[in-house]
Amino acid sequence: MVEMSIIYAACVAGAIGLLFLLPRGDRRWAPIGAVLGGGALGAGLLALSRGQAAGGGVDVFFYVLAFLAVGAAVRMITHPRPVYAALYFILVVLAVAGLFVQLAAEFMAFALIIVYAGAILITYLFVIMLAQEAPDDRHPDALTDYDATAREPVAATIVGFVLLAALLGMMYRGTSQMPAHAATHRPADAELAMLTGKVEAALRKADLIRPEETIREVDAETRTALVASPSGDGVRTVTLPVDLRVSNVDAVGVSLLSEFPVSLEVAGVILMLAMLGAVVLARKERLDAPRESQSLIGKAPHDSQTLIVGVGASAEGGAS
Amino acid sequence: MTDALSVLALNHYLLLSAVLFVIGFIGFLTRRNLIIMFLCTELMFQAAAIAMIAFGAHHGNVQGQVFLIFILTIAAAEAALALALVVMLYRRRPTLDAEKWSELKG
Amino acid sequence: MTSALSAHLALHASPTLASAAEAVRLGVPVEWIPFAPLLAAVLCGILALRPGDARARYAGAICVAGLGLAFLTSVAVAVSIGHGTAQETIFEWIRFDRLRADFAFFLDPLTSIMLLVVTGIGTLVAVYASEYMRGDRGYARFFAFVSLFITAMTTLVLADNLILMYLGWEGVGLCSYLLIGFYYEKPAAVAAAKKAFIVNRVGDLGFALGICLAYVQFGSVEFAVIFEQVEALRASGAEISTAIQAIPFLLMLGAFGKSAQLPLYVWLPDAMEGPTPVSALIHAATMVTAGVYLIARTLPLFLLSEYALPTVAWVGCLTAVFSATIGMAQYDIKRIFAYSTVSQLGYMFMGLGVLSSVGATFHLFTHAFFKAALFLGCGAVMHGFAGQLDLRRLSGLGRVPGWQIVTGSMLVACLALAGFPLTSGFFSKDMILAEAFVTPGPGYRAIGWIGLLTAGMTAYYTFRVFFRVFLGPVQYHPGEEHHGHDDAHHFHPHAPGPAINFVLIVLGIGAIFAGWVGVGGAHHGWFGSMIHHSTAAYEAPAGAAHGGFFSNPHQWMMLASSIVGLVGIGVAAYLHLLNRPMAERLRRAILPVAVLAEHKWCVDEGYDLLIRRPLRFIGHVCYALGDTLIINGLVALGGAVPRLIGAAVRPMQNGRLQGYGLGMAGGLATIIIIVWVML
Repeated sequence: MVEMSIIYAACVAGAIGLLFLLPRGDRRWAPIGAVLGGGALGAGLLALSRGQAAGGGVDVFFYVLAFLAVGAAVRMITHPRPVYAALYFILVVLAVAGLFVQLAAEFMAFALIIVYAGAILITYLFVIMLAQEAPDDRHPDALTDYDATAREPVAATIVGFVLLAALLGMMYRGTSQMPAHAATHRPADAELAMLTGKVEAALRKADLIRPEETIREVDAETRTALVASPSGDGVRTVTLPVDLRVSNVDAVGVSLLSEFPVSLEVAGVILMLAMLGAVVLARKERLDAPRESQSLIGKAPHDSQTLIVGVGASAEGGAS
Repeated sequence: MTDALSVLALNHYLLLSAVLFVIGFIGFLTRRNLIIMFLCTELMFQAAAIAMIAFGAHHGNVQGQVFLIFILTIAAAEAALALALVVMLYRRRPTLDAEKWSELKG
Repeated sequence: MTSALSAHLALHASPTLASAAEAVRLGVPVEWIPFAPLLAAVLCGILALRPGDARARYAGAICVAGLGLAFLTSVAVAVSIGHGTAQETIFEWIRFDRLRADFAFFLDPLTSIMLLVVTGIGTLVAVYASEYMRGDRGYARFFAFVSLFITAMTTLVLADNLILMYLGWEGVGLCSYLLIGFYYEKPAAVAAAKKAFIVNRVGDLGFALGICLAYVQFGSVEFAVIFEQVEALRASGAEISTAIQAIPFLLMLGAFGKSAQLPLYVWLPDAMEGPTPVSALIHAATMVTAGVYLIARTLPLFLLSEYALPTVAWVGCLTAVFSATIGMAQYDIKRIFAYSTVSQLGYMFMGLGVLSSVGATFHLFTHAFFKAALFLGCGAVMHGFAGQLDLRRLSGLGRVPGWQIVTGSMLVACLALAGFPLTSGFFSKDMILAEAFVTPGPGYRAIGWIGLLTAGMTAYYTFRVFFRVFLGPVQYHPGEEHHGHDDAHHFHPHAPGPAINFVLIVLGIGAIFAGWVGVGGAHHGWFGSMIHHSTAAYEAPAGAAHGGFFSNPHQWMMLASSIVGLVGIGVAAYLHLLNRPMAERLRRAILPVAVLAEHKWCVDEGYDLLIRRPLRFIGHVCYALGDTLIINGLVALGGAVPRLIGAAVRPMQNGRLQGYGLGMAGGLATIIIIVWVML
């Protein structure tokens, strides 16, 4: 179904293109690299879409967002200026978030934008601006040496694309043996059984139950709810409204709290420790601190870093 | 929820994921700026996130997304610590060149 | 001749363990004999641990007490054992498979005589040393070693099996090494100690191989079992295998090493670097006779081979005459007596070889007295004259006040050594020489004549010392240990104290009268009867007439050796007392011979040339080829390979994070491809 030879050829072309695009002394070969890389990506996606006619494929948004993501990613690793690289990374994040929406993961799409594009990337930008010498009037194009040139680009590219070819080869080998559609034994909206509050609110909104009645049990399979009155004499079954669906946020929340509560707690502890660690690591030594620890840390070139990094770290923690 | 993702569509997402991962990895290997190296690791996280979500969609459940929450957690923690380390290194020696920090050589 | 000997052996030599001896129940705690000195050794060792401990002065008393207790026990054992035998197991030691080597004692009259000599002389020497060693820094250490030596020596003597005997054998070797090297600051002492140890190794190897072979052939290392089998073997009249015949030769090698016989005698003269009481105790009276004891104890084994005893006889005879020639030319009086010891040990082996085990053990017994007296007298001189031992620098000590007892005991001991009529050495030596003339054997008559000649030489060199040192005009120079002032005229020798004098008197009396225990009766008196009831027993040739004067070899020999001895003394008196310049003129006349003899016939140099240098050469070759090239090469290769690999892969360890990242990615890709290909 997939022409592996096209994939491999695309890998080679992509490798050569990326090699030309990586930062170096002269930029003459960069357009050729861009063309090669874009062609390689197009060839790869073309190879994929040859089976499109069979149905169950992807729509055009995928191709647009994929081009956007890959292009931004390539530009991110090839742009010599760190600030631009960070901005391109935001673009990648946005494209990926769009793909998440395509995959019906709306909550994660927005979480990604908030956490990555919002919190993490802002922190990166702060650090970049603190540590990087900004171009001034005398040196409008002041690039540090380590930003202007790539390190061992040939070896890294070869290894990277060999890895890519191997990964893709394995991947298609694996997925070609899978059934076209995974069997899902789970009924749709199964989470409704646990979301009695949501069901009750919907039923009240639709005036399907009386004010004094409460929901005792929800059957997701038959889409009915067992409603009991406080007097205890009447128990009746109510059919749920058709527009009552489980949203993505509902599903993730139920799964998170019902299936992975311990992991959730551990994640919280990790975040707190990371915050503490960041504060301890980036803390500037006080002047009245003992001399030996002062000498361990060394001299601080800037005075305001500590505060800002500390704020950034705690901002992340709060955002996540 | 929409219909579960077909294998053909899954292949698309996985290819994209692999490409992004390798690009991030190549960036990590070739760029010498410490901050950009960490940015590249974030890119690799994105690639992993795409694979997670795509697999979750393929199997028709939300565990892939739940897993991504934990990935985001780790990514946030890693970013905080890594940037703190970068700041600390930069205080010792005012450069962001990863080549300058090679005391661990044999 | 040899067939005649073997016929003689077959007819007359009878190991009499089963027949003549009856088992005796000992009512005496025989284990005190080795363990009392061991306790003393431990106590002295504790005292020696801290240098400068004031309590170290009690070490002498502790040692004397321990050895004295051992001696008293030995006397009780000797009385209790009589002419019988006894076996006493103290504890189980080594037992596996057929091998049984318990810490057990085998007692017969030979054992009790040896015990009396060892503990008696040991106690006397300890008394002597408690005065002689006073003020030495290693006082307690010395007595620890001496006590340990007595422990090992009595274990050797008491052992009822070859392995326990070997334990004692190595123990005395160790103590000998420790005591020769007692003054370990002196390079000469250290070298002498090493020499003694290494030369003894050669002999001990033979002994060890002999034990192994005996175990293989007889299935046991216990004397009683071995002797029973030997008797059964002889009674059966079967052909005796070569392997069994080899056992006595291996044991003989051990005996020659320990008892300083040709060609392994070279360590004994050098051993005189040790303290003089040690020379007297270990290197004259007791340890060096261990070889004689070994052969006497295992005499039945030696009777199995028709060549074993003639070999012993000839080696002893040649050693006797050879070392006597060296002794005649030496100037150091201690060394003269050291060579004399080698020579007298040669007599003992001669006695064993000519089947005069009574004579050999009797000579061992008397020799212990007079040689201990001689050495202790030398020690007194050394002690009083600040280490001076050169007989050219000492003269007329007999007239120095306070030295009369030393002079007297020396005179008596010299007479005994020279075989002066009616002294102890006279009887024992004659017994051996007479037996050499009557026992049929290969060249035994020649051995007798050589022995007689040696007796004359012995008399000469003994009295050369006596006349030089103790008679003549009073004149002495202090030795190197005198540091008070350089002027010899103001040197005042300090006379020996009561302990030394007491010991010298006791030993002097012994030197005269010890011989009388072996006189009288058909079997050489009390001593002979003792030996006749031991494992060393043999029966005198019945054909040897004890009738007329000239036909009785013992009486004939007494006369002959008296004459020879007196001639020797006379020559010594003329050259070294009456006409000393004459001796110098005579020396010039035979200068090359004299110089060679002074240099010990260059035996050490010969060994150096023939053994040490080739061995060193082989060692160098082995070192250069085997060690440096092959072993070091292999080791260096083992080190070089990882180093090369390291040099090859070190650039990968460049400390750069991204380099490691690259390796990770490459590794991941490799693994994926491998899995891909394999699945």
